[in-house]
Amino acid sequence: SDDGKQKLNDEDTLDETEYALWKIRELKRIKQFNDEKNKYEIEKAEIDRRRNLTDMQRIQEDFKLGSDKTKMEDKTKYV
Amino acid sequence: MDDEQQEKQHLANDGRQMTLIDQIIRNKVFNCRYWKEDCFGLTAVTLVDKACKLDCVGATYSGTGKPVPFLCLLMKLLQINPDKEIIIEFLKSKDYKYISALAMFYIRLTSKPKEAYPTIEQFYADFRKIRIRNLDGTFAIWHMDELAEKLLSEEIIFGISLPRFQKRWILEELGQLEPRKSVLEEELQNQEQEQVQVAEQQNQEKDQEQGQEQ
Repeated sequence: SDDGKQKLNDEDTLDETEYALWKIRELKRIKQFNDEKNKYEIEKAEIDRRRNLTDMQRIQEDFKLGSDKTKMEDKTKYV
Repeated sequence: MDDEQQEKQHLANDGRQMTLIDQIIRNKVFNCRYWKEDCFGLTAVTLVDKACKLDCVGATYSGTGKPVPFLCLLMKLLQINPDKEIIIEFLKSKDYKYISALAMFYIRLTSKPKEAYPTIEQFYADFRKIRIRNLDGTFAIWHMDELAEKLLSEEIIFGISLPRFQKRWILEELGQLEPRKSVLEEELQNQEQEQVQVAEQQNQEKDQEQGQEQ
């Protein structure tokens, strides 16, 4: 197992290829962070929208999406 | 004073530091040779000598889960619970990257997200190579920024479960953190400006051409 240690060199060269690779990683990080943040904000906006609906509107929307209670009850029937 | 006693004492002192590492791994560290031989009676000062000799980052390896010296020293740090200033000095060390990695781990385990995020994110701009030891005993090369990223984004690293952190944007929303400024930020902004300028020029040229045609 110590062979592996000798094979891998951890001396720093700090040359341009290293810098370029780092730059790619950094850009990926920024992009991933922004993507996840956007996802969270979209979800939050959706929750806010749902909260502002009246009861009737919400039930209608549930019915459209197929997540209303009547269908849920069907699933739990005994055989 | 043996390890268990010391551990209990720390628990009594509201330390609870050592319990941050799971008990199974903790016991493996207490029973390993490096801990008994090299880590006995270390202080924050003498620990530096040992940390200079580190050559890989990792926790345990092989089927029986042998602890890597890195983990033993991390446990020792948790045990002696040094001042924050000492840890910050560790972080700053430029010649010995494994000391910085050790301090990074320690901060991730012990500090609150509010402090841990900015301190660990400093290393996003650091592309020094470090050797890591996987759970199966093989070695690999990572960079400091990759380690920092994994520490902040993942819940388990090298089999050590890390305390749960809130996502960064939630802390930003609560006003506890400033948005992160990347080193590349200026460059990106400059590029965007250039692109806008180029687009404007092209538009102007098109307009002129159209004017001439008419």
